Amino acid sequence: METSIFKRILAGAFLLLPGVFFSIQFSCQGPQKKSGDRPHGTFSISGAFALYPLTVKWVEEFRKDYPDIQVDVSAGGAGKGMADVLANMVDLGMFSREVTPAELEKGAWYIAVAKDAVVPTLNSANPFKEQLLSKGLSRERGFYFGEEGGILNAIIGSIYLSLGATFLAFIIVGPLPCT
Amino acid sequence: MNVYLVKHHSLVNAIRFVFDVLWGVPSIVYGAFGFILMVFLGVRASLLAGIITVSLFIVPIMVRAIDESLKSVPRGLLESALSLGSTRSEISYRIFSREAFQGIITAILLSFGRAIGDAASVLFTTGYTDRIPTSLMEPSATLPLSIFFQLSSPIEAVQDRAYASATVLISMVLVISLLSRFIGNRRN
Repeated sequence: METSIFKRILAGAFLLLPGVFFSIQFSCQGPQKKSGDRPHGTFSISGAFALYPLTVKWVEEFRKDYPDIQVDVSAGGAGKGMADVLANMVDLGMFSREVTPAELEKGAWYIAVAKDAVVPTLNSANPFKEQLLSKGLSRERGFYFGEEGGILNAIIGSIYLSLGATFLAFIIVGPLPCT
Repeated sequence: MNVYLVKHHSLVNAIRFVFDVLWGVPSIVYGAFGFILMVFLGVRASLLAGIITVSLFIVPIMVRAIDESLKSVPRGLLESALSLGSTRSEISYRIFSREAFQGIITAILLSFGRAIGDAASVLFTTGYTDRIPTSLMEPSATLPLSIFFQLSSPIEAVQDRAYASATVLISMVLVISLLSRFIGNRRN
C-alpha cells in the first residue's frame, strides 16, 4: 500500500470538524444529585469510529471525578450516532461529518470537539491508479464506483449465498447421517 | 450414523453430541473463524468466503435434521434388507434415503432458511457492495446486512430500504418455513 499524492491536497481540503451531538434531553437515568453528596446515574454515547478512541479517553478521565456516573460508549459510525441521538436512544452522539439542514431541523445541536483529516490511500495494485493520479481527487470531483440502488443486489446476493452454502453443506455432510 | 454405524451406539451418540454442540455455537463465532481463515489464506471478503462460512454454520443443522428424519425409518426395514442380501450402501442410498426423502428436503429447506437470515456469519466474510456479484470472488450484499447498514442511516429514504429488505427477508423465510412444514406434513 502506498500513500497517494493526494495526501497533501486532501489533508487540507477534507478537514472535518467532528461534532458531538447532545440530545435535547438526558435520559431518565441522567446525572442526578444523590441524597448524599456525589452525583450518580448513567448516560450513553454512540457514533463515529473516528471519535471513539478520544471519547474513551475522556470518559476515563471523567470517571476519575465522577466514579458513580456510568458512561456507556459504543462506536457504530457517524450515521448511527445521528440516528440514535435523534431517536433519543442515546444521550450523546459522536459525529464526524457536516450536519445537514434536515438534521438541524430535527433538533440536532452540536459542538466541535476535535479536528480530523481524511487521508485517502491508494493501493499500488489499484486498477484505477493511473486514472486517479492523472485526474486527481477533490471534494467536488471525487470518484464514486458503483451506484447506490435499491435492494435487488441484497436479494440476489442473499439467494446466491444461501443456495451456495446449502449446496456445499449438503455435498459435504449430507451423506453422513445415511452412513 | 443410521446404517453403517448403527451398532456403535457410543460413537453415534458422540457424533450427535458434537453436532448438537456445534448447533449451539453462535453464528458470530463462525464468522470470526471464517475471517481468521480468510486472513490466513489471504482471501478478501467475497461471496465464496461467505458461502464457506455459512455452510460451516448450517452443517450441524442439516446433519441433525436429516439424522432425525432417518431415525424415524423403522429398524425392521434395515434388518429385512440385510436378510435379503442388500449391501449397506444400497440400504443407505436406495432404501433409507427414499424413505426419508421428504425429511431430507425439509432439512435442506430449514438450513436454507437459517442461511438466508443470518447476519453475523457474513458480517466479516462476505463484505458489502451496491453491485450484484458476477463471480464468487466478488463481495456481495445480503439482506440481513442491508438491514443492519441501512437502518443506521439518518436519511429516511435509506432507512426505508432497510424496512423493504426486512419485509422481503421475512417473506422469504415465511415461504421457506411454510414449504418445509407442508413437506413435513405430507411425510406424516
